[in-house]
Amino acid sequence: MSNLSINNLDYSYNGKPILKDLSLQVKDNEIVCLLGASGCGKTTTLKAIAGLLKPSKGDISIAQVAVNGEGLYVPPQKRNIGMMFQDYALFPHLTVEQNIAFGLHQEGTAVRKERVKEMLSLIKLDEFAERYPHQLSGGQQQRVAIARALAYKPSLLLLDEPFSNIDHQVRFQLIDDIRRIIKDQQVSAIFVTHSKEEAFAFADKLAIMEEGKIAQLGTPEALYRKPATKGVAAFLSAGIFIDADAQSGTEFNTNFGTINSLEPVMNGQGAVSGKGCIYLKPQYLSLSADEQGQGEFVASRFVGNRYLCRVKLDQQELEVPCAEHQSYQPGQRLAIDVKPHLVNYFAYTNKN
Amino acid sequence: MLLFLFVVIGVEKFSRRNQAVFERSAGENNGPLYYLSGTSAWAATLYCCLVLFAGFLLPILILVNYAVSYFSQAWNSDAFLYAWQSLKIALIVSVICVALSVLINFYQRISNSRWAAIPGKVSSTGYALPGTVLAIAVLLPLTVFDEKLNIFAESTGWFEEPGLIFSGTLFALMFAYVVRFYAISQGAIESSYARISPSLDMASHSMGVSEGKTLRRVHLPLLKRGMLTAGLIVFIECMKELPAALLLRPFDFETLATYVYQYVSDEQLELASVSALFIVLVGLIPLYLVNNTMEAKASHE
Repeated sequence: MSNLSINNLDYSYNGKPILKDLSLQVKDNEIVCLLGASGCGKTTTLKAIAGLLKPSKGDISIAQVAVNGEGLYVPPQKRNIGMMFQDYALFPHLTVEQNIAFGLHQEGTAVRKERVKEMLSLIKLDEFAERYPHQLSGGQQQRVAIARALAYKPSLLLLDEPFSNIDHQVRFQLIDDIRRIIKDQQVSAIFVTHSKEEAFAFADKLAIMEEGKIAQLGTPEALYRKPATKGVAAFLSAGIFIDADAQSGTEFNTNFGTINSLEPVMNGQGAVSGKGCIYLKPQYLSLSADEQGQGEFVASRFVGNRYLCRVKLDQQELEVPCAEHQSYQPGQRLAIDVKPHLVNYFAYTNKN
Repeated sequence: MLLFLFVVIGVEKFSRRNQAVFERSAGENNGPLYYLSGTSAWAATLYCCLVLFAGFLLPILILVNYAVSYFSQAWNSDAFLYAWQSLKIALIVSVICVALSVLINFYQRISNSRWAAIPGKVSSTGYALPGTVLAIAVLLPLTVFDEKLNIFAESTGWFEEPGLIFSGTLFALMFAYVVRFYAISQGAIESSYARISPSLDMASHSMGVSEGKTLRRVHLPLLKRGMLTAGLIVFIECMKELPAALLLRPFDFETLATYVYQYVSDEQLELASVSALFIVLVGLIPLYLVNNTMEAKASHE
């Protein structure tokens, strides 16, 4: 059953369209990450869900209750949502305890006390109840923020880049903590970020946004293996596009010889064929010294557990993992061997 | 007359705009301190002390001297009454100013319209008016209003002719004070509001708290300091204000400032010395406050 349902949402700001016909479904207890470059409309989508701005067109319903539609707009305070912000947004004049109790204003004192206690132990900050936000670290503040947002049992939790102010060393520990808390409380969540590392660590599903639309929705693995658009492919991994002529779903002729796909690449009509391009990911490439090779060695760098060789290929550069003992000279020609893999092929249409 | 008013407002506002820019750039210019030494250090200290002495200490000492020798005459029931009246008016005006500023800024914050900033900006222009001009500007419409009201009462007979209930009472004076000093509280509240992150409002709304309740539960507690400072400065300005008070006070009414002024113009400063000192003392409070906040800022950095 879907907890959040967005259909055909449009929004323009100063005459410039930000969201174009955006649709998104989020199931119960699912964490979906809106991921995309800055300016793609992900924060706008979040605000539209929260009711902090009014879309020009489209339907939104939260927990089967319509909150936005033709002639309908429910203000944020009546949508029963929880929100987390980049700057934590804790009330500086209230203690941790009072912050968590803030949204429980409709409950009786006993219920409120009980729930605050429960949330404090969930975020493991029991001894900090009397402290003020400025006496806590960033990670602790963000844990208080999630406790506050979940205390009144919202139907949906919205997180707006909540980890970007957290130190890198503790960020992923905090992401684990917050994910555990959300799963424990059984709530659906929408999470906005521009960092794919955060998205991979935090979300059940990714919704990659491009130019005001959801380009693709799916598990991180599915998106990585079978990106629906070139943009999704390029966003999720660091590869290059090369021209290809699809012979069958499994054979592709390129400047680097025939590339074989482990699985046939299909489109709606069956196996793909014709001119298009392939997204080459570095991990499927191997390099060897060869005077006639098409690649040119540029430089290599050590990244801890391996070396990355920067190779110039087809007027593009990409970094290919290589064995430690290989030492090429700058300008040296290299042969590129493409291992058979699940090929990401994008047919050229008349448009591009 | 009106045209003249607008010209004055325009010129005054223009000069103040330049002032504001200066103050801002001076505040940002926090370069490393340059230490003088030897004779030049002593000369600089002496010069600064001279300014302080001639501009503040000397007059204060003279006033204190007068106050001590003429205390029984200078601190009489009149002076006490006027001090009390001044305090009362200043208090009421500062409360009105702060309340208005909070409401207007709150409206500005919750409104999505780009016109929402206009009320605050327009109502701040009163500070640009010289007190005398403002007094006349207040008096003119209020007199007309009184006149019409009296004519209305007379012709309908619905109620007794009220007399000059607007222009002839403290209403006129307080009205002028609010117009004149609103800008101070507006500025202070505006900057306090700007320090409250908009995500606090969003958080509050997302938790089912309405805008009005957000004002009470989030904004007001966080604005408390700003409101106090704003109120205090308005209060002190009201205590000191002279030209508008001279023109607008009711016939049997004196503020501390007009009371002192009358004695001074009769060359009987001695008799007003205690009241004058009182105004000076009240005026020192904001200096202390400003210094305090500046030092607090410095120690934070």
